[in-house]
Amino acid sequence: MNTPGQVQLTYQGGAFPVAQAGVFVGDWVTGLAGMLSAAIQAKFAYGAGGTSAQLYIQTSLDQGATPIDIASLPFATAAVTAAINLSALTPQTAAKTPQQQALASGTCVDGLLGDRLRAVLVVTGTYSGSTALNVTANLR
Amino acid sequence: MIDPSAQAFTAAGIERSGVVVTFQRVSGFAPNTFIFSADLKAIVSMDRDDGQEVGQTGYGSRKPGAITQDSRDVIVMASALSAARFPLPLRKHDRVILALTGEKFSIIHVNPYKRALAGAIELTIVGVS
Repeated sequence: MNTPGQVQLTYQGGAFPVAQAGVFVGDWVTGLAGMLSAAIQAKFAYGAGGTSAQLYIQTSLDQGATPIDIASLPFATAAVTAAINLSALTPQTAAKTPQQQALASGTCVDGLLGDRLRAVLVVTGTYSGSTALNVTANLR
Repeated sequence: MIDPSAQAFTAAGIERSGVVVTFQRVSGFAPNTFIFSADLKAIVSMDRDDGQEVGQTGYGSRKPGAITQDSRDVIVMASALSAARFPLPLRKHDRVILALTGEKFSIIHVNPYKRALAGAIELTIVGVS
């Protein structure tokens, strides 16, 4: 990988503001060809209200045409920091069907890392009190 | 379109004459704010009142040629920001911190077009307390 290091998976250039219900699709971080592993951290800063927020980490193997869920992290009504590590070298010999915002909660799909990453947040309920979610990754 | 020779010349100039600065993007709302930083080199030019000459009065800040005391012009390579994975484009109120002195500045103007041929971005920053 040409430029390993820290990256922020942003929503419109910054952290995800968690407020009203809906699906919030983050920005693709591109230029990650050759990525061998991704250590991803999601920090949920809870304010008030809300019901749940499901974070999906996605990659793509066709330059963004088909997003693929590779991690699904649940958040609710408390401040939580969750970290995972995914490797591109894990064999995946059973064919996987790409999913978008459908991966089972709390699970990951290892071994599928393309040339880009993004985060998608599905919010249920209405959060307030400056609730936000910051997703960062260390790519190697 | 970026001219490769202009890009190389500008990058060499920044490498030679630039100083290490930290770009920061602050997102979220207090108390839940997040900061993403990137350290790289940039040329920082200082327009500072020398305190000796009498300032010209009656010259409105909006007239061409007016400069704001304590403002700086910064030239940074877009490729350097991209390589540092800083979320582009740069925005007003992004922070710039001079590594040498620790001075903190806020971006008030981004001009990606003036030096687009060289792949560089010119910023105007002002100090913040």
